Amino acid sequence: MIRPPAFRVAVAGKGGSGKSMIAGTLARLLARRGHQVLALDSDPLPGLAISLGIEPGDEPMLEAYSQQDGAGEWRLVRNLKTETIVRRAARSGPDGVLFLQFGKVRTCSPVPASSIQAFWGIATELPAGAWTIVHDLPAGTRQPFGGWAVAADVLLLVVEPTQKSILSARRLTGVTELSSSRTRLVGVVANKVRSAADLDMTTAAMPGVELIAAVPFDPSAAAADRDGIAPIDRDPGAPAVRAVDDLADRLESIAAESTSSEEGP
Amino acid sequence: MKIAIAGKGGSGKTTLAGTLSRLLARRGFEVLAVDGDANPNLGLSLGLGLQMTAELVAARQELDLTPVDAHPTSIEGIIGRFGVVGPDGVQLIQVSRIDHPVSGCP
Repeated sequence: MIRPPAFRVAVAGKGGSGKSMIAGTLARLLARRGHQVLALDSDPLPGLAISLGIEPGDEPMLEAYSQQDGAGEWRLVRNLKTETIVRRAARSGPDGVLFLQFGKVRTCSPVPASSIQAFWGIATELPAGAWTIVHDLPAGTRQPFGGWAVAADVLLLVVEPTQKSILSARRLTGVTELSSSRTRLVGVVANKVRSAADLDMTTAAMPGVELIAAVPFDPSAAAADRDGIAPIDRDPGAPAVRAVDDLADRLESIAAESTSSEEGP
Repeated sequence: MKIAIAGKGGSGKTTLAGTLSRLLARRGFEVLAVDGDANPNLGLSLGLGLQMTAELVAARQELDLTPVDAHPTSIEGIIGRFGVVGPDGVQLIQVSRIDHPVSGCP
């Protein structure tokens, strides 16, 4: 089977704006289109599993796959391919999506560097052409700013039509300042849009940031949230799910453009 | 009395904290609202408006930028230096805000 061009997308935004709903639904839809999808949840307070349609688990952190190099820096273990680590550590979900979460911090001690670096290694060292990564980032600015966001080709800022959400998204655009950024595009996904005025307010508040998709407010998505089931499983034809399918179209065309430009004359 | 409010993103922590602060102030309490989120939005729920909330100084960053001998030496001094007074007399202090990303520090 010929897979569509792979890409890495990260989803950031204020808490409750709908990051996990967008990421989980997108991961499932991309898998149905033939992508080999790894869905990453780097939030120590995980929530992506439910939106993907996977029973939430109690995953250990990835310390077991981490070792110190000569300079004392933690890295992924070298005796295993990154793909092998992913296949061992990740869980398999519906539509063949593989799911890996950062894991729970169990004590008040700081998150171990070994675990952080192992997760970073997976997000950055998986063969780029083979795996499509959908990365659900923690809420707010802390970890997205810290570096995980910039491992993605496309960073989606999920914004619901509230001033709090817009203010958070405006802060998140600062991630492009990072020189280590490999992000080619930062765009807005307007979520829970109830009217044209909602959408206008969101785009007006984010000048210079492209609107990639508009996802309508959808009682079906809210009910899925209430019941703890994936929106795509509750109603694959729900308006919000269809809008995420349009987002998948858009991301595929962005990936196809960049693939063809890399192969260009 | 000290009240801390926690919960999942979007569950309404900030709205509850802001509204509770205003109502307690109206009942005559002297209220200090502390925004401990690195992505601080409490000013919006307190009624300070978007611009003031966005531009409010964060105590930790300001302290990092000033020499230690110029730091306030009391809690009242910190509130006086960094706090703002909003509607109903509620004082707001923002602990920390991440304005610029740092590479390699997830």
